[in-house]
Amino acid sequence: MLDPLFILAPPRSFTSLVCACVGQHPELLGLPELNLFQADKMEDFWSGREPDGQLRSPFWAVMRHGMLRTVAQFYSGEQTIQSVNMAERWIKTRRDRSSGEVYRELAEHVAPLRIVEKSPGYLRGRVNLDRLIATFPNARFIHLLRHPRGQCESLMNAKGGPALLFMLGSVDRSGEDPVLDPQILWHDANVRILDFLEDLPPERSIQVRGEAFLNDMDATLARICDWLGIRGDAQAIEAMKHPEDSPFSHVGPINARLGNDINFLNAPALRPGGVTVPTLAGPLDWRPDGASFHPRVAEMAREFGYE
Amino acid sequence: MSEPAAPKKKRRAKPVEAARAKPRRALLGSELNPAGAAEGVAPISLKDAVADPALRKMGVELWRQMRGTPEAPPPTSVEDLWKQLPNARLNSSSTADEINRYRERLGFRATMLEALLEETLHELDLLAHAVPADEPPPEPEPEPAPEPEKPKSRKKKAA
Repeated sequence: MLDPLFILAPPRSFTSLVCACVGQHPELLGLPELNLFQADKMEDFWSGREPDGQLRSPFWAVMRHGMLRTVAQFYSGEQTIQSVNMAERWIKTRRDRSSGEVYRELAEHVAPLRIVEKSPGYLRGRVNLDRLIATFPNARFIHLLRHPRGQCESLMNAKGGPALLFMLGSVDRSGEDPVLDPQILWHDANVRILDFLEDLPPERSIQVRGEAFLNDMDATLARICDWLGIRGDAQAIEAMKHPEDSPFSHVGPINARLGNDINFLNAPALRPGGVTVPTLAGPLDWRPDGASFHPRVAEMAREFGYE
Repeated sequence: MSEPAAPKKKRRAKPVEAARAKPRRALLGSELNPAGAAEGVAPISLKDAVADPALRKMGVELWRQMRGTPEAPPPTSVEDLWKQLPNARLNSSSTADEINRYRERLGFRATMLEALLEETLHELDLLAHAVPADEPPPEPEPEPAPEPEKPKSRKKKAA
């Protein structure tokens, strides 16, 4: 069994699309957001509560959808109301196990295919990433990048995006009134990723700019295949350009509809035309004071190759 | 005589990603939020949002925007947040027939759970009056003093 490939990025960084594309490689298997490493024990994963009784998120019930759909697909070969009910029982019978044990069980079940997963929730705390690497010491990581202006505007304009930013604490409180500022999340999530990856051998991770992925897909996919040591022939690359062929690239049954961004699930196919890369200079639309990017955000973005 | 120079070690190529080689950085969430967590941006708990008037105001405004109802009463608990989600149409891969059968099953489960809850609460009430078999028998109460005999009624029973 090969340890999985994880995609690490703040939310709204093309993670759904990149995960589904890469996961369509004949030797890989893209999964929805499992969120397993957000909990230590399966009992905590199921209840959505921290050991101190605090609810992890008001939306925790929805955050289990990816796991339910995965178990349903793996063990029933379909995602229906009944198979999701079976998946619930499958999870509940493992309530005393650690999330890592259960993740390994899933990885062994699909071997020799290698799992590809992204759960932006893993970046909420270093403890989640530590659980991940303790379970899969040889895991590989794609650090997926997006220009801060594009990522921040996407979050601010998404339905429920500002509320998500608030809940995640991306609030500037240095002035008199609090200001919702997505660049805080962009910066700190990337710092968390860099800090985590610095502790691993460099060959275990790769940085990919999301805009380059979409604008020059063939070259970027070939680079990823080369790095992973998997076949990069035309047939494999072509398969990766059809994220819509994944059994997880559509809405699920009514009792486990999501497991991914709803916009992606409703329209998973690649769209013709590329994306434009914005600039770092200039005021930020979401700042009432007309401020520009924080110097540290701009510095980090430049190190990632953005201007 | 100087020692011969040691053969130059092949230096490992620097990773393409320059950012990774830099020392660990300060976190923006800690700097821009004086009361924030040392580990940077961190989720705001409902408890914290309620306790801080500015955060509370912001949270309620955002919640109303999300619901699209500016007059909606603010949520008071996490469960309340969940209940007050907008009634958007939920698309899914389930057919009408599957949804109907699922509705029937959930309805049956709800009835069963209601009955179970009712019965459980009733049993709990009964337990309050239960006498354990191993409880020592109560002390015999002193016999009450005999009441003075009442005079017999002279009224005749109706035929």
